[in-house]
Amino acid sequence: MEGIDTQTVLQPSTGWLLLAVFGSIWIGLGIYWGRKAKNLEGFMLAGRNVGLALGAATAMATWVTSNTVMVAPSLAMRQGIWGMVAYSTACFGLLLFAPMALRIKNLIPKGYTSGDFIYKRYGRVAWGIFMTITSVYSLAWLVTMGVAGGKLIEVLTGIPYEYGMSVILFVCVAYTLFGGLFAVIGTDFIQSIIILIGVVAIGGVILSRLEMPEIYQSIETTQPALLDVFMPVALLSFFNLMFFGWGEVFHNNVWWSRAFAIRKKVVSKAFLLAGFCWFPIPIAAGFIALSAAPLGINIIDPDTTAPLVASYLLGGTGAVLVFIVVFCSLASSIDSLLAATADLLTEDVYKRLIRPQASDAELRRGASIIIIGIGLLTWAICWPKWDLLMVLYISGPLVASTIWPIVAGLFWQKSNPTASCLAMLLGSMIGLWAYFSIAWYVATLVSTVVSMLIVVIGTLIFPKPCDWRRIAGADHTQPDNG
Amino acid sequence: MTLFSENILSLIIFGALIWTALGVLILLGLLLKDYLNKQIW
Repeated sequence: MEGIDTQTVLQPSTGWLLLAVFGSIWIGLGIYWGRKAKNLEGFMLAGRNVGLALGAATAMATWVTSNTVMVAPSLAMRQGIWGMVAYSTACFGLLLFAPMALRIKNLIPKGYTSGDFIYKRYGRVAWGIFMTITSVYSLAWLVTMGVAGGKLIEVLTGIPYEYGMSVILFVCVAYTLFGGLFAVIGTDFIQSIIILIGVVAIGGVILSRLEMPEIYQSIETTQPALLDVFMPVALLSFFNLMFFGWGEVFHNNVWWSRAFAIRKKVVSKAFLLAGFCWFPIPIAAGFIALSAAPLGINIIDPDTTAPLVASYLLGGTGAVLVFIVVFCSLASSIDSLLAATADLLTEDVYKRLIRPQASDAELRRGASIIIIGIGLLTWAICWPKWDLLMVLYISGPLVASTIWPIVAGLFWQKSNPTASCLAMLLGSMIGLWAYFSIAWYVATLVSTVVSMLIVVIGTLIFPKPCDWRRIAGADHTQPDNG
Repeated sequence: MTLFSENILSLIIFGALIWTALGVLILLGLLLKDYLNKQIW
């Protein structure tokens, strides 16, 4: 086995140059597109008229995180073919959100956030539980990406972790601040194209150096378990990852804000296309890991698999390619989370709880301050390398507990608010118990099933019809139930 | 232990790479279409 010293792959000066070039491009585009955001609706929801191409690309790019290009290879190394395919099932979250997005557009055409819907549909208690879950998840997601970005830059270029992490967060905060959702969606398109081309290019180079029989024989000889048709852990994680993905997409304001922003006529198609384009990426990224053994590369930290293989095959060019792909993956998700979480806090906390009479101009200023605040909080948590990856995994059962309350809330008029509160609470608690007492790969599954049973049985026994017209109303101070 | 065959592995890998490349073409094609119809934003 041949080890590679990744500290020497790129010079720090090259790393700084790449950060400066791409950082300037994203901030420049943020300022350029930000001129379109003339009011609050423009800043938060890009004018609610985004077309199919940008709509699909932003949904896809947001779902391609640093985890997709770094953890997918790691899963492939541990769980083989099933690990890659299991990760790909996260695309079902986007595919299933397609009809939900249309329903959201029809039900609340002037809506702003997922929290607003929960408040009106289920009342204040459910809203409180929901906001807690989504805040924990969103912060954990942001921090894991900040930490991953800092670490990757350090590994590839030798730039100290603190500097790299700070620059990535600064760039994302800056262009989100200048351009709002216009900038986020516009840059997401460019980033999604770069990510897709990068993944295909690395895969293509591997195939040009290695024959498929060579790869297969190497895996069959050294790690046959990776080709096992019946790998129980991988099969269980298949469902676990799938439900985790559903919970993440269904509840988070990142996706709801896109549903509000994309033109109604194409909103379903946009999410279907995003899921379609996203599906093969974890497999293509996982393939990079499977090729490590036949190439004779010794992988010590699975998260560095992609950079190691790419730099082995393409030298400095490969490292630059991975650097750009991961930078785009991070930026496309961090910007979306910053914008959507700021919307959520502005509308659901500042306007609802603090200043219900706030004007649009005041809310826009508030959103900007909140974007900076979230950026600073993330930066402060990332600084000591508090990697919240474990918190992100633990949030799996939390977000999964929201799947049924949201689906029932959108499509089932009689859905019971109390049952939905209990579903989120008990689903989360029992799911967490399963996480710590049984295994991580069953926790989300348990949470989903518990939540489903409570919502379905509770509503069948105690149906509580809601008035859809009140949910569609502009006044978001009055819940429909509770 | 029953293993996936080499053909299945090839199908999955080549399929994923071609599928990913197709995604690029579709997104660029749709952008062009939206641009011509003045429906980008």
